[in-house]
Amino acid sequence: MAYVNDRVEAQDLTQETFIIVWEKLDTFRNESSIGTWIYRIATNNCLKMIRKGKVHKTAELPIHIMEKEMPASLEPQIKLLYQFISELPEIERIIISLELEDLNQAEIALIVGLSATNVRVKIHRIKKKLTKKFKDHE
Amino acid sequence: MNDNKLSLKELWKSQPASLPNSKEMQTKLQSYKKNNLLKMAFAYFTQLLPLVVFTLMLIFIDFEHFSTKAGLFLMLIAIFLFMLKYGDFYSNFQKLENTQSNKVYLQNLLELKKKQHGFQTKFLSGYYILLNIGLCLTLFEPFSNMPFYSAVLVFLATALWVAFNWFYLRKKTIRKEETKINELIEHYSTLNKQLEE
Repeated sequence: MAYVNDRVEAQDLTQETFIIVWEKLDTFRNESSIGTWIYRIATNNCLKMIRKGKVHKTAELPIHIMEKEMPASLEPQIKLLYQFISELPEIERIIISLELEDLNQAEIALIVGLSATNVRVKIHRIKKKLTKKFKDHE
Repeated sequence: MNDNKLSLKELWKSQPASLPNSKEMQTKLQSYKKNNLLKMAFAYFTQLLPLVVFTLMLIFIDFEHFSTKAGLFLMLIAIFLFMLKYGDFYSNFQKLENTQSNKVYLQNLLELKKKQHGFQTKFLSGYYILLNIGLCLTLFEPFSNMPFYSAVLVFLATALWVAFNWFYLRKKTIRKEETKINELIEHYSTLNKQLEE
């Protein structure tokens, strides 16, 4: 959701990822954890997409993101977080989303294809950027 | 920074998300699979139809002029090459391993798009040349059997169609494809650069 900051696009991307995972499941060879494998598919799918128009059309699958009500006090904050993340360059959006999902840095490095050190540095920089954005907004 | 780190994570974790209904999901996936198969079958049918018709004409019709056979043969080659080349690109795109890391995936994607861009202009021009020469050769026999004025009329209409194909349709198709591919190449190059930093 934070990658695109658009509910419909986020749903489309989730649907596409489900389809690819479903289609590719028999090719999963336990070379990495299933989580890393799915995250790679999901992030590659995000990167393949172009904002102005999509590369290919999706099927309609019943996945509903953000259907539950959230506390009113948190809603603006989460929206801001989505907005600030979506303003970052694409790779940074992927890295910070994975970090906030509590993946360890070695796993993020495996998904993105950078060294763990590089990922650590990037995470530090991205967090600084986000914090600044929140502060500037206050 | 620790406070900020904590608040970002806490904020992220407080976003609500619900699981999809698995039964409904399975039904939809099955229908997606079925629709995909039908679409593929239709695409193959429409592409194979002219190939089959031209081949049957070549085998069963005894044409007076050799040019008719040569024309049909050229059109057959043009359509066959077109199908082969696009099938090749489609399968390369499908085979693109999206379970690799973002870096490898983006490099492969960019390479594929650059290859596609390299051949696109030349290939499409070659396809139109073959198709139009084939069309002219094939029509020579029916023209020669027509009354003079009808032949001139049909010839002019055909020439107009060929010119329309060459000067408008071909250029438009190439331009459209190029814009699309260039946009993708630019997008993937930018992403690759982000990974180099």
